[in-house]
Amino acid sequence: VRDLVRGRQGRIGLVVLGLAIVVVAAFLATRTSGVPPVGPLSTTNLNVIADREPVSASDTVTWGAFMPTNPTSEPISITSVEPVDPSGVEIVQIEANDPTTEGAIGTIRVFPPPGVTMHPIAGAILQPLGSKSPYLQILVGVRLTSGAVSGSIGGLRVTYVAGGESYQLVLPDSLKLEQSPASSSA
Amino acid sequence: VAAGPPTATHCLFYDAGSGTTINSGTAVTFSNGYAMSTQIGLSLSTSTGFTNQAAVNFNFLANGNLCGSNNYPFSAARIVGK
Repeated sequence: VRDLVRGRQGRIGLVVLGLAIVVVAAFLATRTSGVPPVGPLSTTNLNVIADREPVSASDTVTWGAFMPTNPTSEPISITSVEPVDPSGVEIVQIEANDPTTEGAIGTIRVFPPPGVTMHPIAGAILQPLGSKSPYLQILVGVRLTSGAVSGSIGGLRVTYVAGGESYQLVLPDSLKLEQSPASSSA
Repeated sequence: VAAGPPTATHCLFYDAGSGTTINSGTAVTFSNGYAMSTQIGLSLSTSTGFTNQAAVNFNFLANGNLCGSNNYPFSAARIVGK
């Protein structure tokens, strides 16, 4: 009986060891393959917002996009934000703010937006959900490139630090600018 | 008595001529905060009501706001144009 138990325990031990090796190997493969690890922020189950704005050639648009809320208990720091698949547009500036106290924007044909306070995107803080200010808005100043009649941004790639680790997240919200002679600055 | 639009205080500003399409990540209710027969400041491409995994267009004919009931529109259960 003792040999039987020992054999059974041995087999369980081998299975556990094997699983541990697979998990560690998968973790190391992710770290060394250049694929960013999945962080605590997620866009799953969020509404995807596709904005569109008629512009003239001289308009610079402010486009607002929201970070998902922070489910952790610690502040998350934004390192950088860059447009995904930009076409026909020039990014003037990317900033951040607290939309609740500093102004919330969908799209508006002026940049910087009047009455809205903005801060540098690098170092912007996303406070935990449940804190006094749990929202962080990304504000993009963008205009058509010279000669373009339309332009678009397919999303925003956000690099952030949580718990001392760096992660990337792609916000699927998008913007389309279309030149229109009828448009006028706000 | 017809029910009024839901209270929605988490608002984003949109200027005249702009528009937005919202693909709902979860079940979400869309509505137009204006009475359709009176002060039209916004058009909505679908009828008001409950939708699930839907795409709804808001077109701002004048300066207006897109508001969420319990959160900003990116994560709101109810979205109102007004």
